[in-house]
Amino acid sequence: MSKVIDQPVLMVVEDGEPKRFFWIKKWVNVKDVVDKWSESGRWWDEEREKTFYRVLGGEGGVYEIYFDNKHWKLYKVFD
Amino acid sequence: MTSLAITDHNNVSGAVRFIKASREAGIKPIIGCEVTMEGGFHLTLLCKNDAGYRNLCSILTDAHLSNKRGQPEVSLTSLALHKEGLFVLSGCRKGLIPSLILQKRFKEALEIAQDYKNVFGKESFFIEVSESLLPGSMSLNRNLWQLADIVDLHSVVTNNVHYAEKEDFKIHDILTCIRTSTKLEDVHPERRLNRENYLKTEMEMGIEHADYCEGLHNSWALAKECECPLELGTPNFPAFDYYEGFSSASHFLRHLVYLGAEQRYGKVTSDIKARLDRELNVINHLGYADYFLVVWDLVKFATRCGIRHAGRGSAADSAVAYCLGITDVDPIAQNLLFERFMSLERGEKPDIDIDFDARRRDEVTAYVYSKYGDEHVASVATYNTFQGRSSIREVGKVMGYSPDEIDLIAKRLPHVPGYMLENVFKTLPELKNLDIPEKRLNVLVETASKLSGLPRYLGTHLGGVVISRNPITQFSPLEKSAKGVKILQFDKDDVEDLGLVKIDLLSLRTLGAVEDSLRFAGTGSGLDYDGIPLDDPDTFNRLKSADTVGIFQLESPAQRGLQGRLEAENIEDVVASVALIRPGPIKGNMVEPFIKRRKGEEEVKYLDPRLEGILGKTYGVILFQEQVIEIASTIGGFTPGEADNLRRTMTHGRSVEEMEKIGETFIERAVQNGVQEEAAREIFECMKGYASYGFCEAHARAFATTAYKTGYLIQHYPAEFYGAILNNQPMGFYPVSTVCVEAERHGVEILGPSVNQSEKEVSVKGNGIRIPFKMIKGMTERAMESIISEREKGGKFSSANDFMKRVKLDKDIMRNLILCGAFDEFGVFRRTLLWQCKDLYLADSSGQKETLVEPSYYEYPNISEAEFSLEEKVSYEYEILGFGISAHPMEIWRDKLKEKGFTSSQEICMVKAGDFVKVGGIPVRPHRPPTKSGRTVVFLSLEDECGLVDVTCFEQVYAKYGEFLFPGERLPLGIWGQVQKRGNTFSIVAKTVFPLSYVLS
Repeated sequence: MSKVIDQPVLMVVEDGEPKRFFWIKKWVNVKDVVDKWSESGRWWDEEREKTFYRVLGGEGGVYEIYFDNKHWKLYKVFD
Repeated sequence: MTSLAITDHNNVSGAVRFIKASREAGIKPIIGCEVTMEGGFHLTLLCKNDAGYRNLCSILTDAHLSNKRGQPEVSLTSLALHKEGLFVLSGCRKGLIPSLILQKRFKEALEIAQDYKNVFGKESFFIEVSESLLPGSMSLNRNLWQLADIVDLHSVVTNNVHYAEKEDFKIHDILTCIRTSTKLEDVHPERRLNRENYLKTEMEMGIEHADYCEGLHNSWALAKECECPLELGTPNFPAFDYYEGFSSASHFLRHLVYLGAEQRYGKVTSDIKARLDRELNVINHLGYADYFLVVWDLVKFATRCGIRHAGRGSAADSAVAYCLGITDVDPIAQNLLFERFMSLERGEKPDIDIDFDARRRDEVTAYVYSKYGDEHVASVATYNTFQGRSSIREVGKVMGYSPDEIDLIAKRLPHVPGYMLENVFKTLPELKNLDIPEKRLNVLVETASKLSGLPRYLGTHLGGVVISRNPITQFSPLEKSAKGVKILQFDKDDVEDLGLVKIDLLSLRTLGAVEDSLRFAGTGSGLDYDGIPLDDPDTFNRLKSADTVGIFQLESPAQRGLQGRLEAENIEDVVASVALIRPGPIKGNMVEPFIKRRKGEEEVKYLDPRLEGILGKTYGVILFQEQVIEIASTIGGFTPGEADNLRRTMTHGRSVEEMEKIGETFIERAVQNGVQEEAAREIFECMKGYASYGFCEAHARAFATTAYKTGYLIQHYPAEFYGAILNNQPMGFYPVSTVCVEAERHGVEILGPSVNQSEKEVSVKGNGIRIPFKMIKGMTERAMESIISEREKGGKFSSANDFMKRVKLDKDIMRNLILCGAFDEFGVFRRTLLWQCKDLYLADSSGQKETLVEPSYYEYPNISEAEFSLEEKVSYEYEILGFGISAHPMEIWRDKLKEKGFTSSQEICMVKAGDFVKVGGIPVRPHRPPTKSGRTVVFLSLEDECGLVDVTCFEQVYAKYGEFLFPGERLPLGIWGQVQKRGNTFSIVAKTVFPLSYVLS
């Protein structure tokens, strides 16, 4: 199961790649990037391109986060 | 970047242009293809060498020809059979191996990889890894590397490029939507998720695959091993199987030419011999003897079978072509330049174009296939590209515009290339007030203009056929056209670069019309087309009166205007007429001076005495391309090749800089040749004024002969020739309705369709033209045959009931037959018959309840007792036949129009020049030709029951009334304007334009 969050998060980045983010009063370390892809979305509505990361958190959780060239957002949390 | 491979889907159409562009950029071109395998999986093939390219062509030909059109599939058997010279890559995510991995079917993926390795060998089969930032890519690529290790295969890194820059993704997405009939808002698996399919730099590729350098190295090694398989420009001309007793094709050609020369000239003088020898020398030196023989042979075939034909274009500059019977203009007598056609210096392939009777052209093509064999003949393709209108239509659909909105815009839009769209939407009055929000329309126009010139689909060239010495599939794969013809994957220019020779077997409906009029006249008439005298006074009088609707090349309003002023007296004037109404002479302001000088109203002056010899026959005006060449060589001292290059630069509208450069050279050399600099500049300005399209004299002469002869036919055999025009529709400048009005104006009777009298084709009896079944909308071959065969078998139909009992037709055809009056001879009202027929039909039909009349009629049964009004009848006739049999719409409204002070086309000649009149009619061909001032002027004709009234709308009037002039449909128009008389012609200069319904309602 997964839950859509789609909320901005504070993100620490190294060489453009996510390293850790702040979520529910604690920092989640990015242990591993399991997958990475990009989506152009509704370009005709001037929607920004997003780069998605599916990451493994240090505490064992799986998260989907994205960067839309402006903000980092936590998109989904997997149970 | 040192090398780049092109791997389009299932075609190599881009290969020639790709090779040229790569070489220009200093990049090694690699030719390949992304093929669709059976089951829809993709596989990448790269050519190592010539053998690989030949095999790729065979694989693609097999895939295209043995599957449904547009759905080619390569079988593994075919691939294995033709594997030599090819590198095989496992493909993108749609490849069989990657898709199995994505489905986590690892074991099967391994088995397939092992199978491919067994078939192609480790040295030729590679695992392909590319990064497109799609979900699952990371694990897919990891698994592909592992798989390569396990099966002991090399893997290579590739970039799946679909467009050059990231920004082009949008256009690619639009094109994908067009291809898959998807709207932007809708999802489709073929649409790409992101902008990652752009051409990445070597550095970007290095960073992207930094953890897998081996793959990158393998790619470079692979590229090194590939050689460009296509040697552009190496000739591969057809081989002609010449007759026994001759040592070579050139020997045989020489024999035929001299044989022909004796027939054409009687005595071959030393001048003729010198000319023929000079031409033969060039032809043989460039290796075109076989080509001439091939053309001679097919012309001979056409003559033998009675297929009317005529050579056109610059081939008429060749005495060899004349002696071989390919063309009918004597270039020696007319002093035509052979160099315009062929020259050693240029060394280019000569273009021999031949027009054939449109209906029989396919017989000639079939002959070519049977003579040279399927393996050596194929049709040339055309790269159909997005133009203004097609872009608007397609992008409109994708953006969710309604069909009505798209129709409204597209029908008002002139035929312009896509890059002009933004400009025409800004400037053309008929494209304003479209009732579409500005921002929405702007997005449409901007997006559509970006599609300009992009390939849309592979079409078939109108008549271009290639005959090759070696099997044709060594040069190009073949595929099926929409009509089922086998076509190459290259267009005419690329075919020439490949060293192949194209022969144009064109179809000209005018030749069909000539043939038909001879048939209608019958052998008893004594009419001999070839023997038509070229000095018939009646024909010239017809031209002088500008009464030329229907005459080949001389019927447009501009030509009619010219005829009324020029008053042609001989065939030379007709040649000039054909050449004068062209963008070059019009923009170069040569029409008026020519007319005045020809009529002796203006003195002929030359800027240099040497020009007299060149321009004497055209009264000092540059009319023909040959004259440009001659001026360049006589005045500018250009070599024939240089002069022809100048002509090309001018006629193909090349860059201003290039023109300026040539101009400077010309002036410099002319001054060296003793011409004053000022005069040299002026001469060059005249030549420049001619720039853009003009005819070559040879072509103008060939066309002028046909023009004059069709004039003779229309003058002396009106029923036969108007009938022939109707039988060969669509042809000429005017719609069927205008042809009928013109025929009737000349005393010919147009007889409506009749179930007892009509044939499949037009028939002519005495002074009457019987409208045939084929002109009825929706008519089918089967329906025509069933009517005619029943009539032949059981005799004429005695009543409508008798017809309906004996012939079973589709309900739409039946409806149309009734409504266009095909049963009128039985004296039953059309509406009554429609009503009766409905009952009969349902009684006989196999349970399918189809109504023949509009549902509203059922509510008023009594209506069936009365006939349609004349207006209703004519409206149906227009819908079904394209013209009125019962009356012309203007005839119905004439009394009312007269009351309102309207003048008919017949009465215009009685109005004083300068007076103001109101005229009304159905608009015919409103158009905006190029003008010398560069301003937009709209020309159109208004058709009424008596003929045509020509109308000119200048810029201000057009700006105000553009939406009425180009409404996107044919609605009757009214015009108020001033009568103008020029020569023997009348026209109206419009001041106000309005829909005629404003005054009729």
